[in-house]
Amino acid sequence: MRKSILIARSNIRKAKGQTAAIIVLILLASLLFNLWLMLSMDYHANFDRYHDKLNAEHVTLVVEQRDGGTKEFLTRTLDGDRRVSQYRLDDCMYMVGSFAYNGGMMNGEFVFTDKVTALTRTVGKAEIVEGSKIASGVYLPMLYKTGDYTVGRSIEISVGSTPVKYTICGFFNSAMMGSHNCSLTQIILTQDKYAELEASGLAPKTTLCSVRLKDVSQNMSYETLLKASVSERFPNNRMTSNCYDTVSQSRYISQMICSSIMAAMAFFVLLIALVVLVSNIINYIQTNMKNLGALKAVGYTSAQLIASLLLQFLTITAIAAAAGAGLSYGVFPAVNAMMISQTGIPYAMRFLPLPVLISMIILGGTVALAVWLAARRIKKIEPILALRSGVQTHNFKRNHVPLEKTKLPLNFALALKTTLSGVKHNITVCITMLVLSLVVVFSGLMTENVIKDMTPFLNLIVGETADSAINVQTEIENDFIEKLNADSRVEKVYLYNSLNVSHVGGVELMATMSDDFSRVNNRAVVFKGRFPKYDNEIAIAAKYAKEKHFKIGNEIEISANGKTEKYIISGLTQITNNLGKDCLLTRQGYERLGTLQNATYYINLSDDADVDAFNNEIKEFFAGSINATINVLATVEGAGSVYIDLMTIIVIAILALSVIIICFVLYLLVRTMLNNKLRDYGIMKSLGFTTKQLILQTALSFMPAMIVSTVVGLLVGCLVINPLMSLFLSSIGIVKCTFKAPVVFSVLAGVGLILFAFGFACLLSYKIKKIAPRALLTNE
Amino acid sequence: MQRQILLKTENLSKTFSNGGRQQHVLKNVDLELYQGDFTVIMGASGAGKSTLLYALSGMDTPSLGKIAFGDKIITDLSQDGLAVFRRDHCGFVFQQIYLIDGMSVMDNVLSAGMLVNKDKKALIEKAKALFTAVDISEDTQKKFPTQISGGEAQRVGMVRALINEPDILFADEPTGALNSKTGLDVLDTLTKFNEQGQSVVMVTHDIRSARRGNRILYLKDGVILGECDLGKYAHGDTARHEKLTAFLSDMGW
Repeated sequence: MRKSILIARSNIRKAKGQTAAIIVLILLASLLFNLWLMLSMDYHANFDRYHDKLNAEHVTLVVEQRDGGTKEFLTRTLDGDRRVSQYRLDDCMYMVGSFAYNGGMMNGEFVFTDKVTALTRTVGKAEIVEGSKIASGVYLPMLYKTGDYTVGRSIEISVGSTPVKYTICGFFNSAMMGSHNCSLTQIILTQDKYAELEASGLAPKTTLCSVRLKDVSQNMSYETLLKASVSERFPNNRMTSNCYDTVSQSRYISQMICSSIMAAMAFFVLLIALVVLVSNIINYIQTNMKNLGALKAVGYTSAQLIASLLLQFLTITAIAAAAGAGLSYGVFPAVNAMMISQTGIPYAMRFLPLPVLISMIILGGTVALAVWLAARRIKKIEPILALRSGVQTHNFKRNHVPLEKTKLPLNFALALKTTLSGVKHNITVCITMLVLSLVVVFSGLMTENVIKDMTPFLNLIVGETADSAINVQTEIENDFIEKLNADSRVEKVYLYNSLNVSHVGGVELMATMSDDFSRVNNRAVVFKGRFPKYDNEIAIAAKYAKEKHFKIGNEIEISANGKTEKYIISGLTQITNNLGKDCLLTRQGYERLGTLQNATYYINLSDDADVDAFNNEIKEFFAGSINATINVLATVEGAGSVYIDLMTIIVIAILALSVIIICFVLYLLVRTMLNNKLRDYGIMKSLGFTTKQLILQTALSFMPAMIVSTVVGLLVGCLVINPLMSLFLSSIGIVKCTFKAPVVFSVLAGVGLILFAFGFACLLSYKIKKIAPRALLTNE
Repeated sequence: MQRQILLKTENLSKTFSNGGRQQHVLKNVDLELYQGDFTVIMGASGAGKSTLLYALSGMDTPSLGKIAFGDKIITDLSQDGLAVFRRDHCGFVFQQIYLIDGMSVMDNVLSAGMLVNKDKKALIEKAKALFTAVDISEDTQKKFPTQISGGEAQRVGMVRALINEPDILFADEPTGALNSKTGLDVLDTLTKFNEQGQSVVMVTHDIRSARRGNRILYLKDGVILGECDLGKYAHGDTARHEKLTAFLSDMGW
């Protein structure tokens, strides 16, 4: 063992540059592995810790108190249910509303609670994160603490369609109602403001019911059950709900995206590091054949020599992995800052030994395997090689690019000769560039479909978008449509209303209905089959259909308002609004279950129309009969800017990472080539080749593999990126991605990467200048 | 008859620093090399023979002094300028041969030839003629350096050195790594090319090799101690050998 340590130490000392480059690659892999494991193992678990800390509910239900007796009914129901461990009922007010946020609008379903109640609830209490001495005003969820909203400033909240101005007293956190991603957004008012709102009648009196279950896994089915029983008893009372699974998933979509990207990048970087490492070992064995033969001649065994390589690279891996783990704690606050704008839940960073241990095991295990596989050829070296000065019998099978026949210019021909005789280098370059091309395509996809123009992303994630959405009372529907059809700014108006229904034997589904689905803007929502056309048809989320083994043509039982009806599945949808638990019904189809009391209409306006002015006009015209108006694009911009920021950071980070990887891989390859071809460069210089010619030849020799693998990588990347993204987004309900392939971006980025790689290879090859032909002749 | 000067040195000096100690290998060497000569540089080990050869051929830069090739002062050239000088005017035959293992015999020659010659067809013809002249078969031309004998490799080295019709062919102990038979073949080839007008500068410590030269320079401790003209004696003439032996004896050989 001591002998192996000595050899390993000597090897590391002799190849400091290569060692440093391999350390950097493994360090990057370790950094990404740790970030991924921290995000996936602890970051999401932080929600549970927070949930427990606030003794938060597993099912939240808000029910209008229009028909009296809801509280009593809920008390009776919950008291008699053995699945319930704890519950809490409080008065609140519930109304759709909006406020300006992130350069757009935040539209949500607001649950207004008074401060004392909110902070003292035994189940589902809120926690003030930042307070003040301001006695009258509003407390907002921590998520909305942005540049515009700080303590002491004012905020205008539209309650329904009436704006109300409040002073911000502070910020709070709530596990189940702390963000628009929770379906329900809690707004805490001081006692006086709560009383004012109550007196104004803008938001109806509602019961806030928070239920903790003995078995958390039943949360989704219990939500459906509870809602069904309440709607059966109180069909006229509006209600809405959320449950633990939905909230915990939807608050952590960005964490899921980021964590998946980190995992993919970690494995990509590890793969590249392993390829480089194997190439390095094979090269080491070839160039040190004489020394290895000599060591064998004096009695070293193959096992000892392999052990020395294992020791050398495992030492490097241990150092790099530890440094990468340490660095991950330096980088994590930035990742957390990126995530918190979506989760809204503070995360206290702490040392996590398990991610460090797992990444160490992954890195150490794969490196050990790679070293062993590459170093096995040491067994074949015979001591006699030392006596032959390390000369091996070369087996030149082909004279690549014979100069006698080629039409290429000399430098290109010699570069191509080097390329074709360097299989190991080509494999390393190819694997690196194939992986990085995929990364480039992904970056391009995100740039063109999210960062530059969010429409494709919205079409996939949000589903339907229009310029304006107006929620009206059904009594004025005909007048409303007549008025809008007469307005020259209106291009299209159609019913697009969402309500919850229950799948009998399944879960709560968000049902979106329209009087005519042929009028919707986003026809891609139904990606298989067709939109429902008749009142006995339904289109359901593909993710849910897969879970329940439903196919087009199957029958499904849906209940709402105490009634149950059967529908035939006409198509499969993919919308992430409700994380893949949604369906589409025609209006007539829904009305088999009950009548609509309010209806949301989507409106397309002409390009020059002012959406806010239009909404205000309609609101004034139908005063009292309009429940809410939404500037849809502004809302989308508000919510979408979080994803745009996230994607921008991710794209920049992974492109920068790609450049760093190319730099280190090229450094290793060029350095190895310079060492291996030192004699050849000396001979060529003595024959009259200039430094510039040799630099050009060296840099060019990497280009064929680089160009071919980049082109193949980009082509394959463009072809597989949508299926890969579908896999990637399957957990939020996407089954078939239809993003535009980022051809222009990929081509430009690919060309950029190749040119950068060529320039960098030239720079690295500049060392050739120092090679003096005299050194060759005097054996210096 | 006035002989044409090919290379001329003035006060050529070369100093190496060895562990902080200055070692003066060449000391103010003034020398003229002439067109068509077979100049042999002799001397004991460490006399500075190879250093002089590398300096003359632009492989190395002297510490002091100047080397002129016609109007061109090659000591003023950059490294790349020296490379161009070597490719345009010099050919090299090394003791260790130094063929590039990854290239076939033909490619070793053409890679040097294509640096200078634009007419590839003519270049290939010339290469084939030279291969024939040194008795390298077409089969051998397709082989790689590790697949041919030492003698063959040295003859390939000579073809490579001559492919660009250099003004001077520099040879550093060209028979040093060969057995006596193949060494003799190489010397015969060099003599043959010299007789066809090729200027040759050869470093050797072998008296049989030195006999091929018409001008012998004897170097000792970095200075040219003396020179001997063998030009008036025919090859094979015993007087040539006696003259050389006497000269070397005078020089303390």
